[in-house]
This record gives sequence, structure tokens and C-alpha cells, in this order.
Amino acid sequence: MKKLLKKMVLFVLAFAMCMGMGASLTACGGDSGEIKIGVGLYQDSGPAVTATKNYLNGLADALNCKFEFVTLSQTNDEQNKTTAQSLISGGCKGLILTMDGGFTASVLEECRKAGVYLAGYLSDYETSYNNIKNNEYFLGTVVDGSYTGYAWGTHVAERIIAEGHKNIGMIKFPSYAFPHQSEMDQAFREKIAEYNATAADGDKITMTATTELQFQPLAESYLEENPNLDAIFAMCAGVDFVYPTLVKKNKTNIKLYTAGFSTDNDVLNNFGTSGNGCIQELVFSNVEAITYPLVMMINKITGHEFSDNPSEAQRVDSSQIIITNNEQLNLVKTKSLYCTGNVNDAFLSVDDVKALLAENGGTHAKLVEAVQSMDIDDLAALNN
Amino acid sequence: MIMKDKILEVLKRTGLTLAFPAFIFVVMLILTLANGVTYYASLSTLKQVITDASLTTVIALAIYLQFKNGRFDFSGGATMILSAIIAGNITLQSGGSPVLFMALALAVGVLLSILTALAYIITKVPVIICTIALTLVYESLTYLLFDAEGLNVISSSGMVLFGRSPYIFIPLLLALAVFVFFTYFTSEGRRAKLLSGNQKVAVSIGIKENKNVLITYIVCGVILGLGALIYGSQNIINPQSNLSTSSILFSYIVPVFIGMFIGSVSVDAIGVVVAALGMEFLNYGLDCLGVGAGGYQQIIFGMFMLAFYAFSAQAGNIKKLLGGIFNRGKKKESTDAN
Amino acid sequence: MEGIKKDKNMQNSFGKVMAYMKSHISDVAAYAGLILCVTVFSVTSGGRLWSSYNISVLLESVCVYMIVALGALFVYSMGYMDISVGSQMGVYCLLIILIVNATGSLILAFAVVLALTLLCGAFNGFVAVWLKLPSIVTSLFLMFVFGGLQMLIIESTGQNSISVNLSLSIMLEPWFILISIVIVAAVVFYFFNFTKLGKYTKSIGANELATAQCGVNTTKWKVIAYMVFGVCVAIGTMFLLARTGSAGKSTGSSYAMDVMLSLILGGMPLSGGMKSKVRSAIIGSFTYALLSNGLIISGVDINMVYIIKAAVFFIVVAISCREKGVFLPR
Repeated sequence: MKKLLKKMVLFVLAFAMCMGMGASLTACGGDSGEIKIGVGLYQDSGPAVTATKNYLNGLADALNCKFEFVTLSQTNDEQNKTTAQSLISGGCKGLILTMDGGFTASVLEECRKAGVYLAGYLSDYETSYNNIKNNEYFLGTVVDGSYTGYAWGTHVAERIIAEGHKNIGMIKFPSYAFPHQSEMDQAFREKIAEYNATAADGDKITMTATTELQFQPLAESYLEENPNLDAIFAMCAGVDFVYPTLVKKNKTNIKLYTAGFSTDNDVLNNFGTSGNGCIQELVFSNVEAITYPLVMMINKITGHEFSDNPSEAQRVDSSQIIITNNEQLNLVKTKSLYCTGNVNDAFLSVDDVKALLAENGGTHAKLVEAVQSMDIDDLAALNN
Repeated sequence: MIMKDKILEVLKRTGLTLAFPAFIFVVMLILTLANGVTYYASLSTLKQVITDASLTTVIALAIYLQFKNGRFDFSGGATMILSAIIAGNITLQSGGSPVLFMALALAVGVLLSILTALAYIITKVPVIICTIALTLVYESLTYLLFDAEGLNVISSSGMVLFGRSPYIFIPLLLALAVFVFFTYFTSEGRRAKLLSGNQKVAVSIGIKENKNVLITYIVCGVILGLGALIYGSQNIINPQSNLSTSSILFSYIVPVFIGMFIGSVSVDAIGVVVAALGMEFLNYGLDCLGVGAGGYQQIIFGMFMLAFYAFSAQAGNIKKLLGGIFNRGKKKESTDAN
Repeated sequence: MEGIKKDKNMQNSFGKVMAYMKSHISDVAAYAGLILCVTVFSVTSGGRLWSSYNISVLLESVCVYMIVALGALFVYSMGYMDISVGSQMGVYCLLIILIVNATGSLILAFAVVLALTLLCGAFNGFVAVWLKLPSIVTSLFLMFVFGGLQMLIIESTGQNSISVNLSLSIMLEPWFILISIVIVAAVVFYFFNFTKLGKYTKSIGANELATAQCGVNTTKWKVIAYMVFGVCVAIGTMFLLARTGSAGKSTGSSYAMDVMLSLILGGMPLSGGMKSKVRSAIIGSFTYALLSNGLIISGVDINMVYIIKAAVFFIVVAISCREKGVFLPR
């Protein structure tokens, strides 16, 4: 009996192996002409995930697409490759991945084997871009905001000067993980130095050395070490990594200017002039930016090409929503796809997206323009 | 004379108990001062350390209660996280009363612990495997409840009252009281001790193991519920998966080991409190030195744990050695006196 | 007459089957878990589970789990566990990349890693005994130290992940993977079932004191068991690295838990002892890899994946790890 059981299992496994070894490697196509696209996000839950799913599922029928969502690891290359492989096995003809790393080259190799295309979403593909931009299976990526951090760094410095803060804490993630935060830091310091050059002695702004967070909340000792801070410029995700420490240490009188966003009431109720008034600036990228890789992918799979198709895969900036006051926050809360999860609130409707496809006369320039016309003013204009 | 001996004994034990955090504090003070950090020895530091030690103590007590009874409950972290998410979100929807948050955290903590105990009793699967399975189940529920949003109430100052000083001492004292009362003043607590000492003998003399396990889990549920209350009040909680909550357990396990050792010269619950204090002095000191997170922190932490455990494992030999030296001294004294 | 005889024979056979099932419930549950996964995913994936591509993908991911789990068998059969293996593998991947990129020698890199794994094995086995520490403490120590080292190494490179300047693609060829798995499994099978090593590790798991009292140098065999595990970790690391040719801050981090879950799914008792079997590592690794792969190719919603995995795991262990007797197993 024992032998029989063993034999059964061995038979099943051997059958599988034989099929695998005997046949040549072939791609697994979708059913009934429908284009199946795997979307790998760096989070498995939260409003951005919900909004992305709702947006893509809202477009699915009109574009004859089907989307499969998976979660990628932010640091585990091997796990990401396994996930990408499983998506290919599941019949995806295209992969839109938010993560890049050493694994990207191996995923592209899998794509080549299976005839599947890869594109990026809210990622600058910093690790791989230069090596893969000419790979025929890589279709480009849309960046999480601007590729460089100079503009936002300068913008925050201008706000800090206007608000009259004098002692500023500077916090960012390590450069090996987020190299462009150094540019934000540099731009901020340059702008402040420019201001200090002409400011009276009592009005000069001082900045701490930049602290690098190791993806853990800000140490409480930071606030002992820097007891007189008026404001903190957190280039990293300050809502998750800096704000909790300010609350814990009862230091919410320090104003927080930070990248990142949260739809938690705990954050929204303490923004601007509300609640403890600690959080003064929030930034997020629009989920509609996924339109760029999506359109590039559908074009490629359906065999259409833009008249102005770039010769190499592009790394395209996307506009971000920068929230600086309560009025803007209210607009975002009630009218942005990110917060409402309602596809009708999207910057781009189903028809807009269809019109961007090459087969409907869309161009690369129009597509880029579309993903770069989604800032807070555009949101206000859309809802007027 | 007897009274004097007793007082001396109490003083000796108290001194030995407090030696650990005092030693850590002095070492970290020297290191921080040597690095130009002047704020380590401040009232604010002390307040911070005591507040942080409260959460560490509560979680360590929950782990220790199972340890003490011969079990390693892998699901403690998941139980606490899930309790915090459920209790926190319901409280938030019901107006944000801190008392309601506490009551719900306790209720959910106890409920989940009862489920764990029942699963263990009914399936008769070894406790570590059974609790690993339940950890996976509880973690997966964090994705299915409340739109997988986890919990973020840290700045709802009313609701998180029990996560802040001085009110944080209420759940801390409750946890300590429950632990001490159950362990030392109830027959079930004593039976649990018997069961952990010799399971076969304990069962054969008529102790109902199933009932005892259930009651121990209920007590553990109360402590985990209190842990959930503090943890949820101080931290943003995201959904968890793939046994990630075990890292919460492992990060609080060192005070358990150390507390067990310190507890050998004192009441074990006090050992855990003191160990938690010592660990928080260490953590805060490392923060001040700029190595409170990242690679160096992990390496220092690991080495500290191994060194302490190795030291405590050799305690018998050390004691013998010291005892020999002291006795020789005493003998000499008595000879001189004669 | 012949009909009655046939009926009796059938009844006898059925009785034998039931008796076998009852006495081998742990094995049956482990096999049943694997067969259930194969059957369900064959249907839900619309046959994609059996596509040539997916088979090669499965082999790729199974091989690391299986090689490491086969080595872990020696440690788990003693009733110990090693939670440092994940961070160890992460550091080893980084070291191989750095050494290969600096010297061009994969052999040198492997030799260094092998030496380190043996050293860690000796540390886990010997230091724990020498300092009278529970094995979990030395393992926890190594986890902290290697986790810290992994972070420091990757920070020192200034990049999120680093890649090896050498193609390891041959290691991803299905035939190479299959041969490697078969060789490792055969060697482990031999050592586990036909040598003193297997006999003594199981014996230590069953009753360490009694084993020692029989004149067995348990410390020596513990060290050897951990070192054999180390060899498998070194081989598994090579396959892990070959998968992407790169490593980052948390490469390998999940393997400590993954290997443990694989072994449990294969019916391995964590208390060790005579019930420890090589097939636990083989079946468990297949089931574990299939679960992750099958759920994605079947298009299951992200949030549902975790509960399904948990439910399958719970059901399998509730059947396979159930113990008899009046006491609650610890």
C-alpha cells in the first residue's frame, strides 16, 4: 500500500516533468483574444492599491484587457522573479512592475523566452534602466514624480522661507535605496543658502545635518539631540516614519513637510490648520500614471506603433499631487481617484485612454503630456 | 539576628535584581558621554525608557507565561496585532473611547487566545506547529478585515491614552497583576507549574491538562490584549503575512531570557520588568550613538543576547567560584575572630 | 461462491487500506496535500500548471527549498531548528557576488561560503553545547549577526541590489536542477537512513539523554549534523543566486520560515525523532512551492492568497501532525 501511494505520487510528478522536459518552452497566451496583463505593486493593500485596481478594472472591458494583481517585495529579488514567472505562467502577455532591481534583467530574460513584455510604473528603474532601455521586451517606465529631486527640494525650501521657520531638521532614506533624495537635499540647502546670504542675522535659517533613516521610525533621541526644531523636511515617507515619533514625544508643534500620503483620518485630521497642525505638506503620485505603461503595452501586443515612437524605452516623469493647504486636501479627499477609489474621478476617462492608443491616432507625445497633466491645479480645473 | 539576615537577603536580592539595568545604564552613559552625547542621563530619557519598557514588559510577560508553562506560542505576535486592528477600528468607529479600546482589546485578545487553545486541544498538534498554523490564519485575517487598512490611530490623543505616560502604567500594572495573581495565587497557576515540571506525573495525579491550558491561554489573552492596546496606541499597524509577526515575538524575546535569569534571584515578573528596563536603556543608548537601527544595531543586539545568555548559563559555575572566594574570605574572618 | 470470496477479498483490501491510512496518517496527509494542490490547481489554472514553462518555473523555485530542506532534515530530526538560515543565505549571496566580481572565481567564492557555512554549523552545534545554550539562542544570535551584516554589506555597495558579473544560467537549466536535486536527495537519503549520522540525529531527537547514555558522543554528532546542513545551505545558496544573479537587503530572508513550513507540510515532526523522513523535505518543498505558484496562476485575489495558504497549511498539519496519547504535545 505504501509503495502504491508512493508510486502514485511519483507517477503524477514524473508525468509533469516529462511534459515539461519534452515540450519546448512556449508562452501561455490569454483566452479569447483578451490581453492579460500582470500588475506587480510594491504594496498589497491601502488606498493606492485599491485605486489602481479600480482604475484598471474600470478600463478592462473597453480595452479588452484582463488584469492580474500581485505584490512585489521591495528588497527580495528572488521572490520578485518568482512572482513575475508565475504571472507569465498564468498567461500574462505583459507585466507592469513597480519594482526594479538586480532581478529585472532575469525577468526580461523570462519575458524573452515567453514573448512577454515588461514596463515600469512609478519607478525610475534606476538599477537597470541603462542596461535594458534597448531591450525589445522593455517598453519604458513612468517615474514616481520627477526623475530628479531638485524641483521639489526647491519648492519646500521656498515654503519654509515663506512660513518663517528657522531651525529645520533634515531627514531622508539612505542613498543606496533612494539616490535622488540627495538631490532634494541639495536643492533645499542651495535655496536656503541663497536666502541666508541676504537675510538679517536673526532671520537666518539653520539646518541639521541630514539624518538617514534605515527604514525604521525616527529615533526618539533625535528630538533630544535637536530640541529647538521648528520644522522637519522629511524627504522620506514622513507620515509613516517621522510623524509617529513626533506624536510619541508630544512634539507635534514641529511642522512636518514630507513626501508620501495617507488616507488615514489620523493623518488627514492633523493636516494644515486642522487638529495638531503638525503635517504641512503631503505628496503623492497619481495612479492614473499607469496609463503610460498600459498604453505602450497594448500598442506592442496588438502590433501598433506610435508615429513618434521613441527608439529606446523611455523613463517618463509624471506629475504629482502636492498638497499644501486644507482646501487642497479637501479637494483631494473628495475628488481624487486615489482617495475615493472611484474610477469616475480619474483624470483620464475610458475614452481618453482609448484615444491615446496608437490604433486610435494617439501619439507618444500626447501620452506623455497626459501623465504630466495631473497636478493639484489640474484636479481643481477638472472639478470646476 | 534572623530579621537582620532577612533584611540583608532582601537587600542582596534587590541589589542583584537592579544590577542589570544599572550596569547597562552606566555602560551606555559612559559610551554616550565619550561620544559627546549629553542628553542620555536626563529626566526625559528616563521617562522615555520607562514608557517604552512598559510595552516591552507586557509583551515579554505574555511570551514568558507560555514559556514558563513549557510552551512556545508562535501566535502571540499575530494575536496581538489582530486584536489591535479589530479593537482599534471598532473603537474608532464608535467614537474613540480609550476605555472601549481597552475593553475590546482585552475581549478580542481573550477570544483569539481561546481559539488558539481550542485548536491546540482539539487537534493535538504540537504546540509550536499548531501556533504557526494559527499565526498564518490570524495574519491572513489582517488582509480581510477593515479593507486591509490595518490600524492608524496614533495621534487620536483621546483614544490612545493608555499608550502614553502616565496612563500607560494602568495596562502595565494590570498585566503584572494578572500574571502574578495567576502564577502565584491561583490553583490553576500552580497546576500549570506542575504540568510544565512533569507533564506525565501531573496528569496522572489528576490535573486536567485541557482545562489548565485553556485557562492559561485566557490569562495570556488578557496580557496580549493589554499589549495590543499599548502597541496599537503607539504604532501604525499594517497587514501582516508570511509569519512576519514572529519578528515581533523575536524582538521581545531577549527580555524574556534575561528576565528569567534575573527572576531567579527575585520574583520572575519583576525580573521581566527589570530586564525590559535594561533593554530599553540599551536601545535608547544605541539610538543616541546613532546605531539604534540598521546593521550595527542588529549585530550589537545579537552579541549582547548571546553574551548575556552564555553568562547566565554559566551562572552556576560563576556562583560556585564566587562562593568559594567569599567562603574562603568568611572562613578567614571567622578564624581571625577566633 | 467466487463472488463471496471476491467480496471478502475486497473487504480485506479495504480494511488493509484503512488500517494503513490510520497508522500512516501523517504520510497520507502529506501526500494528500500535494495531490490536492496538484489536482485543484490543474483545474483552476485551466491546465497552465502543466505548461512546459510553468514546470521549469516550479523546478527553479522548488530546488532551493528542497536542497535547504534536505539539509535541515538533520537538524530538525534532532528536534532543533535553525532560524538563521535565511539571513545566512542572504549574506552568502552577497559574498559570492563580491568575490566573483573581484576575482572572477566562482570556485573560490563557493569555497569561502562553504567554509563559512561549516563554521556556522560548528558554531550552532558546538557552542550551544559548550556554553549550555538552547540551540534557538545560537541560531537567534546568528540571525541577528547575519541580518546586520547583510544590511552593512549592501549599504557599503551604495546600491539597492548588486549583480554578479558571471552567467549562472546553466544552473537554471531544468536538467541541471533535476540532476542536482536527485544527487543531493540521494546523498541525504543515504546518510539519513544508512549511516550513524542519520541514526544518531534521529536518536537525539527521540531522547538525547538516552542516546548520550548509550555511549554516543552527542556533541560530535550535533556538530556534524549542523555542518551537513551547512553544506546543503551552501549548495542552495548557489541556486538561489543563480535565479536572479543578484542579491539585496533581504535576499534569502524568508528561507528560515519557508524551509520550516515546507518540512511541516511534508509531515516532519518538529520534535524530531524516529518519525523524521527524507520524504518530508521532498513532498513539503513541492507542496509549498506549488501553493505560491498555483494561487497566482489561478488568478486568486492577493488578499485571498494568504487565507487560502493558511487554511491549507492548517488542514495538512491538523491531520499529519496530530499526536496520539493523553497528553497535549509540546
